[in-house]
Amino acid sequence: MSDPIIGTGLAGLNAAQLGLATAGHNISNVNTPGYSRQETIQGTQVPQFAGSGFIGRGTNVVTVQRSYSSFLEIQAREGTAQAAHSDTYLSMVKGIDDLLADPSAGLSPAVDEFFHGVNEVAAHPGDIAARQSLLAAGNALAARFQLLDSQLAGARADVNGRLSSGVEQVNSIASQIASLNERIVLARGTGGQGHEPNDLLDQRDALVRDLNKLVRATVVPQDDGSYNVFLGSGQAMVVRDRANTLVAVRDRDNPQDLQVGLAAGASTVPFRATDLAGGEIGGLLAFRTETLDGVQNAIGRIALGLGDAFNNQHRLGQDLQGAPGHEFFALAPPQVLPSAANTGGATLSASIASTAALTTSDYRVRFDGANYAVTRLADGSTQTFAALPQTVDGVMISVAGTPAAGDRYLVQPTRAGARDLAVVITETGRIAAAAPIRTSGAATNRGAARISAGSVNAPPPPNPNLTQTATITFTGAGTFDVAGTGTGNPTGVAYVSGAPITYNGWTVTIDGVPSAGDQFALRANAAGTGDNRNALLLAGVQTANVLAGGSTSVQGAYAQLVSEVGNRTRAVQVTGAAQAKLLDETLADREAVSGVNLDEEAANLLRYQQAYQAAAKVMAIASTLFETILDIGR
Amino acid sequence: MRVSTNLIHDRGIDRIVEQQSSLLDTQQRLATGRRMLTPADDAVAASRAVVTAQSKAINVEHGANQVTARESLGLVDATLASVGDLLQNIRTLIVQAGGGALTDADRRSIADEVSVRFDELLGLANTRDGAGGYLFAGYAETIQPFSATATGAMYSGDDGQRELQVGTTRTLPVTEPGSVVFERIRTGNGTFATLPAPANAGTGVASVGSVVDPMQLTGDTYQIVFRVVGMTTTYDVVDTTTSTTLSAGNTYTSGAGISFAGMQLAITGAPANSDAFDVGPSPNQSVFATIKSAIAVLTRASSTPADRARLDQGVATALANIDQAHERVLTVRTAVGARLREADSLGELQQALELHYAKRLSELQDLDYAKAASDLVRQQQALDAARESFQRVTRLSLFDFL
Repeated sequence: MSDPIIGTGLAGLNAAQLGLATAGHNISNVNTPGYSRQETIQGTQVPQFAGSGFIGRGTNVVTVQRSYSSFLEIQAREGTAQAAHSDTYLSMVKGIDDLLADPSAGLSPAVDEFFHGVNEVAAHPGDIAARQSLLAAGNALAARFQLLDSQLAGARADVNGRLSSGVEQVNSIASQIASLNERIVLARGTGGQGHEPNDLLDQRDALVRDLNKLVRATVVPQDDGSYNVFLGSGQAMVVRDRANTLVAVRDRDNPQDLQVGLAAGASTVPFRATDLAGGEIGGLLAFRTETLDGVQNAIGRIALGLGDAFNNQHRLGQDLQGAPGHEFFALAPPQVLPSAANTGGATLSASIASTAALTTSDYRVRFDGANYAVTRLADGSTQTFAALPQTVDGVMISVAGTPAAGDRYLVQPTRAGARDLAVVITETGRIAAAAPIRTSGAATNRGAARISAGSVNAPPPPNPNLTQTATITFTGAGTFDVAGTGTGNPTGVAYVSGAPITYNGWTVTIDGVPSAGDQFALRANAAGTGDNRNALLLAGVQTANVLAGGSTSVQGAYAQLVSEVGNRTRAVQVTGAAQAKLLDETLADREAVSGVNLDEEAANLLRYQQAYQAAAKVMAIASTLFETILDIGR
Repeated sequence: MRVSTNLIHDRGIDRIVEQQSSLLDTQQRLATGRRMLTPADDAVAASRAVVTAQSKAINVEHGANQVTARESLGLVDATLASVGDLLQNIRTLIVQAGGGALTDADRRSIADEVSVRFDELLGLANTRDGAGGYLFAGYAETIQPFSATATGAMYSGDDGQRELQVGTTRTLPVTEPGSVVFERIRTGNGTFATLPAPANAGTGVASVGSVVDPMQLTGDTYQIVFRVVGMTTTYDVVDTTTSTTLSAGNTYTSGAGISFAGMQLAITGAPANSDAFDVGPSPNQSVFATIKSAIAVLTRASSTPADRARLDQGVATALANIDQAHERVLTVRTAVGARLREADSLGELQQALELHYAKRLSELQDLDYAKAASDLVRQQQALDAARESFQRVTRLSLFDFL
């Protein structure tokens, strides 16, 4: 019988052809992202029993299989999500890192330049040019704060923009996965008779990995071959052939920021920022809550600390016209943002009670119907009050009207500090370089005692009787009388050489031995254009510990910020590098299983070519055999 | 391990990109000379650099203030030197005027010259600094501090003394108010002054006197009252503050020391009966008043012996008061000189600190060029090797043999 031989040859021919086609498919898809190498699985045909035993009937291709490891695929997804998270975080935080310590664009040079201006005024208090340069330096300092803040605000806008586009991409990928799910189920069920549609599966796995670049997604494979995809803490993004919609909406509690949520009908169910770790979106959200908010608040706090300390000293001085000093800087009040969900009619307001007590955190005020809970968002610690106003961390929070139960407010004490810092003084003469008082000893004094230049007691506003003339008259070497409006005219006050004498908001010291009848006077510093006492004190603000409960100076707080951001960036760099390495290894492992090796395919081509030629030879021989039989009959 | 063709390419490219990235990083460091390109490179050093840079900037401010202080103090010192010379000059003129051989007209011409010197002194007291402010006006630097009056000069400034921050904890006074330099100068010998009563008719002239026992000083005013009975001259010493007579009927000898209450003085000449000398704690007087009264003394006629005695007494008092004024100028100059020296030595400290901060900043920020240059060469070689090997590995293909 020649039949089985031809059939066997034909089966071999077919199998070799399929092998060649698969190798060709592999070669042509060598650069297709997500492609898994395919191979034909050959098996023997069911043998035929003849009297002498089972005779082989050739081969058949059982199926075409892709080289695929679901374990490696899951690892690759996870690694992709982590690496994208770090990558995004790093790209955002690097901008801030570069900005802060730039030798020309950072804050330090502007602060140094400003206090150089103050020193110039101290050296030449009556010089209009020196005063003009201080005003210019003050404006430059405010502009530098604004520049830093605008860079941070730009980063915030960038986060919002990238969230919006990220959400669109997520939606597009999710709908593609859903439609692939549909096609895969269809392909497996009807046309494929149980065979796997390898290329569709590859496409879908590639999409899931793309999705993980944006946000961490977990996949639960279903029996029918479809994937269910979940985000965050289990919110379904794709269920079989149906994709949900992710939306980026204004945060109800904080309209400056976009928030990511899942559309549910007309409303939106927002994700918590911590739920959406991983991927670009997770990286953006983490950057915003961990770094951006804190840095912007810290810069704002530095601006407020510097401005407030400078203002306080400035108000104790006297300007060139002899008028008391006013504010030098305009300072931003705390921002209060009511939640869009509030139903009550109350207005919450906040003011700064103590700059030194400020933190770099934002605060949430929530009214539960009876009490106000004030939560420091940086560490979640909560204080509860039955009534407002109350002062928390240097911020006085007060309320007008009655809020409804559940009403919420976001208080940002220092967020606008850098943005809104401005110099309010425009005339050089208004710079208060002088002190409002001066002291003198009477021309007739016989004793050796000398009076100090005197100082004005902090904090402002100064005592209303500050510049009232007061006289200190010694009634003996050990006692003196004080006379003058506001002093209460005490008599027989004990005299201690060098001890502070304080009345009417001023303090002087008298050193040495006075004679009875010696007189010292304290009066308004009329025409004191050459006086630089207040300018010297203003210059001292540069190194005064005015922040963090009086533990650090303006520059110290800035150095701390530089160090924090530097360390944060470094940490993200290191983590990112480790994750990239891990992802690299996972992808290499995945390539080892699924990747196409062209040399291997070349060898396969040779192999199947030879098999094809051999099978053809089998058929040729079968044909010759048949010819032989025919020749017998002739 | 199975190696896919893509892996060979991707890995190869990745490594080349990595090498290029570190090469660029090293190149950037070399180009900027900075060890840290961003704080992330060394957060601790970056934050220290911020603080050190501020310390350096503040130190530069102190240096600038020291220069300003030296200028200001130098001007005060130079002006006071001129004032001292002028006072010496006036003293010489007054000594000259006290000489016995001079006529009233001679003295009047000397008085005219002293008047000119007075105006010169007033000019010095109204010296302006480089910025146009009055040097001796205290805080009121835009107001002319001294204006001449019939009996001296009126001071319109205040007691303010401008200070400058020349060190972290040191402020240095850089001006002296006119009230301290030219006014409030004790008369006489600085502790007590002796004045003849205006009605004295004799020729007694009191010396400036001196303190012999500071412990016995009371601060009371005393009067020495002479009694002339025949040829015998005696004197009583009365404490006019307490109205008690300390001693009475003491024998007077011209030029002999008279001591009481820790003070000693001598009276020469022949006092007339009831002539008196008041001895009391020195009052304060401005140098201008001293010179004006000297001019008044010099222009008075000296026809009688009593006039002559008054002249001698006036000259003696004027000389004592001018010496006190000169002493004051010297005291202030000494203090100013000490501050100038302090400014100089602070300047040296400031330069040392400047060097220290610069070194510290350099340690924190600057690049080790030798290391960076060798890194650059090493990375260059690595990049070359990566490129070369990539080219060789990717060139291998079985298809070349098919």
